[in-house]
Amino acid sequence: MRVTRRNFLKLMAVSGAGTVAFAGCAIPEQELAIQAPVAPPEDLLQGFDAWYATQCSQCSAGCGLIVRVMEGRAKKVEGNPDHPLNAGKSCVRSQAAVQGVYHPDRITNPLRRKTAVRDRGVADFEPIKWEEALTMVAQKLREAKGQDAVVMITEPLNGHDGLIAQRFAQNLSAQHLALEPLEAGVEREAIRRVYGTDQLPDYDIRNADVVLSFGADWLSTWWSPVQYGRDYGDFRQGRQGKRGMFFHAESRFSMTAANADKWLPVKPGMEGLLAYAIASAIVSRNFGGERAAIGTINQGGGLDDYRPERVARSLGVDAGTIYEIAEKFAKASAPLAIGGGSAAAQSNGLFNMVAINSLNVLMGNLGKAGGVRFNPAPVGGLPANSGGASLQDWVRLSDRMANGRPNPVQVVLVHGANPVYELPNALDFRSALAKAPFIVSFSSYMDETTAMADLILPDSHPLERWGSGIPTPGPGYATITFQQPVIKPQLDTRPTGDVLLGLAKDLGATNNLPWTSVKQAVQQTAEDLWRGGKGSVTAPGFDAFWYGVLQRGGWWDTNATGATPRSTPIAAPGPEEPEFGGKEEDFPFSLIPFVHNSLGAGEGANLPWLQAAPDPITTAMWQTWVEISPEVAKKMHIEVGDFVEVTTPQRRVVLPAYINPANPPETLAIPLGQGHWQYGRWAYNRGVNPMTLVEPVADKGVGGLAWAATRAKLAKASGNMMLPLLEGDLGGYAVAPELHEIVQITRL
Amino acid sequence: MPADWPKWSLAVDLDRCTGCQACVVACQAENNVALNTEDIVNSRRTIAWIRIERYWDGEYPNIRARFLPLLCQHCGNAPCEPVCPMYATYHNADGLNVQIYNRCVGTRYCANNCPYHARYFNFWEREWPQPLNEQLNPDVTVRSKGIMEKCTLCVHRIRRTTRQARREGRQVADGELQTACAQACPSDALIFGVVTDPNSRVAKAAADARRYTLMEDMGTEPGIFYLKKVDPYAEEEHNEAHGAAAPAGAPAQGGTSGAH
Repeated sequence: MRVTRRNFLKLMAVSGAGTVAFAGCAIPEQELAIQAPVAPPEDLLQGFDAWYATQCSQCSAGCGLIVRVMEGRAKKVEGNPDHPLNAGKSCVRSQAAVQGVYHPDRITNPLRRKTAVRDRGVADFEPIKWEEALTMVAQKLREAKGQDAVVMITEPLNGHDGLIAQRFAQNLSAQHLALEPLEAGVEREAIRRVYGTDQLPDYDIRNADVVLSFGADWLSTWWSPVQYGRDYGDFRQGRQGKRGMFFHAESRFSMTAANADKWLPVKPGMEGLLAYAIASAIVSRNFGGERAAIGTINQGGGLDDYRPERVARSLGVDAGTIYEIAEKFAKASAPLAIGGGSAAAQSNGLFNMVAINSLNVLMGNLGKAGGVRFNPAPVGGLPANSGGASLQDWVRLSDRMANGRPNPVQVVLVHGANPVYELPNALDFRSALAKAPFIVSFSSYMDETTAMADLILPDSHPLERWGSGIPTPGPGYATITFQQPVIKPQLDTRPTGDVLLGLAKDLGATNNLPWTSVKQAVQQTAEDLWRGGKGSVTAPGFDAFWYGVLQRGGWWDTNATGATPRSTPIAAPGPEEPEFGGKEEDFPFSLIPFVHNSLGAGEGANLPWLQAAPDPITTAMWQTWVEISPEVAKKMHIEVGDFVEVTTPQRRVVLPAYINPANPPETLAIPLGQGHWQYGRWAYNRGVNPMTLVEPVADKGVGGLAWAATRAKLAKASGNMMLPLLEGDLGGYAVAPELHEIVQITRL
Repeated sequence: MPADWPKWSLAVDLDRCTGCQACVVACQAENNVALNTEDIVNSRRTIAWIRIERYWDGEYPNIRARFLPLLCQHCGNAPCEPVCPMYATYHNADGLNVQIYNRCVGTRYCANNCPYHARYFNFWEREWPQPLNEQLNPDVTVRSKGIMEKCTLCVHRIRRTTRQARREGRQVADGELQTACAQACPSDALIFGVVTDPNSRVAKAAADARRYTLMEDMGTEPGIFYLKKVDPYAEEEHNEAHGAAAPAGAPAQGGTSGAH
């Protein structure tokens, strides 16, 4: 039909939507019948965007987000400019969140394992309706009698979803374990012992003038990379005429090490020794003057064992450097020490962490600007990411599932965790789980644990559901982030919190679970905050308050800070040497697995933007590699991309090599993230998970997994592959270096 | 053009940049950049309108990695502009080098000329497996095979915001409008704004003693400028534009070729 002006207008009237796409002149009439909602949502204005504040769920930090929504589709994530943690900034992982909503391999509806398929290694499912599925689960839960007959495995509990899961487990006398991929149990215990607080403290990097960190890759991953990144920028160039100095000690050259003014390639497990060596230097040479409260470390004496001259060789850092850094640290007006990561993941992890944190006590920076600030108890008494189960807990569970002793496991519920993939091979969690009679997964994606389930009840994406979160660590004052759905659920999924509440009602297990939905639970906390009448949002009526906190993305009270604990003297114990999995003579290298900048511990591997985001140091993408030093490469005739065998007492793998000029010669560094055998098209069947190489060495103090305490050996294998690298991608700047300094540097 | 026509610019503070890649993914998300799957990366056809180049400096253990965010420099004297037979790229009044997608026929002469390697060609038709395409930004054209693309300093955001401001009869405030990369960057290493407005953050950065431009003496007059990295332990000052003897431990050149 020819489109004339007259019938153009007629067609417009028929469609009612206002925008018509024309392919050409001769348009069949049916193509112009636009699917326009009869009553479009109030906020749907074609061509205009609406921004909704919510919470980021891509890591445990809990930044605030605003999401751009156009015509019911989540288009772009940005940081929430109002949120105290990230103030409008975002990171590589939060930016990729929208790919998680529209992922082509997302589970679209509840699934049930096909009855013929008993082998849990085969992921063969058929669709099932919600009602039928929920009836089945309720029945199984009713039948599971006895303490710990039901096991709930979740992400570290946080906010209202965490509260509901916690109480649900209690009501069913179920065992609850939280999976924290690289558990921070050792870090938390050290904080408890040194500072006397259960809440992770706020490190006031932006106001410090010398930062000394050990082990933790705090700019890239670790606790709160966006908050620390913000702080770091201002620490360097945000104060007129003052630039902070930053020293970092780590057994590998991480992104954080790359940004330090000086990187100290400390040997694995020696971080605590280094911290005490610095303390010893400060005390013996009186660098800190009256400031250094030497009474706080070992009652003023006994640091002699740690004199830099004595320990330098075993540390891998020369004594002169230790004195230099000790002096700069102690003479700073705002010195700050931070520790964690691979320093805690050693057999002497607690020793290391206590030593590092003691430096803050020594310099008296607790509660001060530029020092360690403290967070109050979580808002509303909500769980606030208090961490995960220890290695020993997982070993015991694995054992119980495999052997049925002391009491058998009957039902396993899994949400927000992928233990089959994440736990070290040594636990044999996969075969143990296979023996569980009934497994339910709430995952939105077919990950390795979900592929073993009997029933899958897919959760809606965090951008599609209500919730809350307590940012951890907090910004130094009471903060709660509210999570609201920015789009309607795209698929036949249901928020797990709502599902648990429904099941609780069915089972008559509603003690402390009076709500019918997560939204209702969140609103109740909001009501309490409204009645309190203080903080970032106040209003005469609750409705106005509710809209207020949703618009701002949360509620916070800058006056509700955490109390500064009194510094108590900490005895510096005798030097505790690290122990490693594997004997040095058989396994001459230290294996350092590291959290990947965008893939994390593997949870980001299903998103293509994260796979294609280059690793900052190597620029590698899409694969797993092992970083070796140039001298080892030369000795063994290894070039980039050559296959090498990395063998630990656990396992042998073949990986492409990357020659990293910053690699300490005795280490092999391997990124986490790959090695999936499920989890969608972009994660599946690539690379290796270095957790499968890790020996189950536990920290002596707390029993946490010492994932950086494995030793390895290296051999050249045959063949090579093209390692996907950004470097060398483009022809070099073919000009003489002395004519064009690309990166200009000044000493200022 | 009127004397008070705003000239947009971006400052890159190398002392703030941590190398975190937030800008890289934010830009890809905002601008409908094709998915860089492994086969594409291995064909050396990655498209990243902003990328972080990593240079090595020094030797173990006194080794440093220097991060340099690299994007189209929006050159005042752009080598890419005069060579396009279709006039598909030109310099607009805002100070941006603009790519007109539907004029481009894909001779790739512009990319050939760009000394910063900031232009990217679509060698293949790109796909977003459904429903990933629901995420695409409707403000930005999705480029097809045969089209050259590059950083636009988020010109679609510039247009939206300036039109809105004009409707409201006011000027765009400094910081009201950000490019996707600058908005994401946690450490505020990327500062976007009107450089001709002396009160803007970017104008103040332009007045900083650490200011320099990339390969200044090639005469491209970049619209983007950098603030030098500060390293108190640098053996020498690496800040001579040209003519100086190569300092000991000069950063390795050759794109981001590095390790060997």
